[in-house]
Amino acid sequence: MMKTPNSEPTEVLLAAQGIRKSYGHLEILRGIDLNLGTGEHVSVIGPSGSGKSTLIRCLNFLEMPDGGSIDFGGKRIWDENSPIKEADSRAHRTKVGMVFQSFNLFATHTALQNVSIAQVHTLGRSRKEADDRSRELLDQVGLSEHLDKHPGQLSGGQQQRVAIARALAMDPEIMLFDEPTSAIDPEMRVEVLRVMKDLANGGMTMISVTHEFNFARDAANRVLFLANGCIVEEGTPDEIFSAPKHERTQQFVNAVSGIV
Amino acid sequence: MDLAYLLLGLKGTLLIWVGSLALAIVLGVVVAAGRRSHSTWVRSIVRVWVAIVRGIPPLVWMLLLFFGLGWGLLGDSPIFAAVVALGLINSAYIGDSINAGLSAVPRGQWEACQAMALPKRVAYLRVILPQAFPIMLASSTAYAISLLKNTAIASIIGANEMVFYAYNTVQLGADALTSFFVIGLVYLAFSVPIGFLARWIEGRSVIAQVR
Repeated sequence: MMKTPNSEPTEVLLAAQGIRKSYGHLEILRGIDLNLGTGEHVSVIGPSGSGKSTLIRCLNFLEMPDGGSIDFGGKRIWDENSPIKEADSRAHRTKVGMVFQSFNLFATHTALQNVSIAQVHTLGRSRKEADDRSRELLDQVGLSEHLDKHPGQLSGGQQQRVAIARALAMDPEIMLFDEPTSAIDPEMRVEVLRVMKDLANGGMTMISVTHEFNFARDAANRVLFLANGCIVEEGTPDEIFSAPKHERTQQFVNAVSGIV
Repeated sequence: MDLAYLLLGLKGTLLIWVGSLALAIVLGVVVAAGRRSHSTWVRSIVRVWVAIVRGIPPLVWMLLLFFGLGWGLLGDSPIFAAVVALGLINSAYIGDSINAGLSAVPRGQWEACQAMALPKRVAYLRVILPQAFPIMLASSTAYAISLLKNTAIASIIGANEMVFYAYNTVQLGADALTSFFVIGLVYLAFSVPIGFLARWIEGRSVIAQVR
């Protein structure tokens, strides 16, 4: 099932303009523009160190950008002249689901508790309401058998699916995936990718940083190719993977696809 | 030799130990908070404080507080002076083990708390501390044991603890080897089980299991 790229123009949910970020003298992001419509799924690809992760971490302020502006839901939530307040960044984060490369499940909590904790303590749902929703979500990602297991007792693929359920439990308006399958055994990735693909097809607004080209081809509306902190090329999955315009894109796509 | 007499000394030893440990933990939390402060000023002050506290021998601290810096408060009670001296010194060590425990919790755990907008209090109490606590406890226990042994120094300023009593019995004609051997056993009776407990707790920690 392929999503129709650039189907109808949708309302812009997220507009990041000119995002810049440096660590000391090292420029990680050199002015990135990224617009995302409601229900749209953009995959970000690029070599290690190109700034992909930093980019999406800027979108929920796990990293504070040095320059640019971010609009969300039609409202300016951050720009370089007006630093965001702690309360506002927390409010923003409740609308943004984040899935990390290394899962980051809470080690002393069971799968169910991991999915419930923020529902109770961030959103103020009752324990019962939260647990019911958690069971539903864990069932949706195929883990209803593992509710009471701790992260250490789950495989990487299972942990990541718990992490996805945990992020979805907040009923986010957008999901950010930071190389969600890179730390998982190749065989175990498919379940995680299937969950993500279902989400994308179900209309979830998503940004996924990924090296899984087949997934991006199937499930993304648009693909961004990032190198050296700049967007080198942007287009439909077909354009990027089959007919890239830039030599650098061609090089990268061939290398990752194993074409020698 | 009168064993009951030694046990009187044990009371003093435990008083100094528990009192100074409690003080060290309270001040240790302050030291750890200072170590993790965003303010360079606060961090520098804590760093200097820790250097001073650690750099002077426990005996000298006790003599200083008992004879010099007590401002009339500590000079009357050698036990109180010993509690304050050992409490101050160990606040530096315990503070650093609290800090080390917090630092041992992987960054990703903090980031997940942030990403889900968990209130800081909830993040600490439910996510970070349960993972950091076994690590803090394991290293703090090692300091607690060395603190127990250091209570013996308080005999020099005349605190009524075990070494003080044992020394007195010897002065009164008891056999020196037996007296000191017995109190040696009493120290062991406390330090060995605590050491085992610490290793058991550490072995159960989530972070230790992951490694």
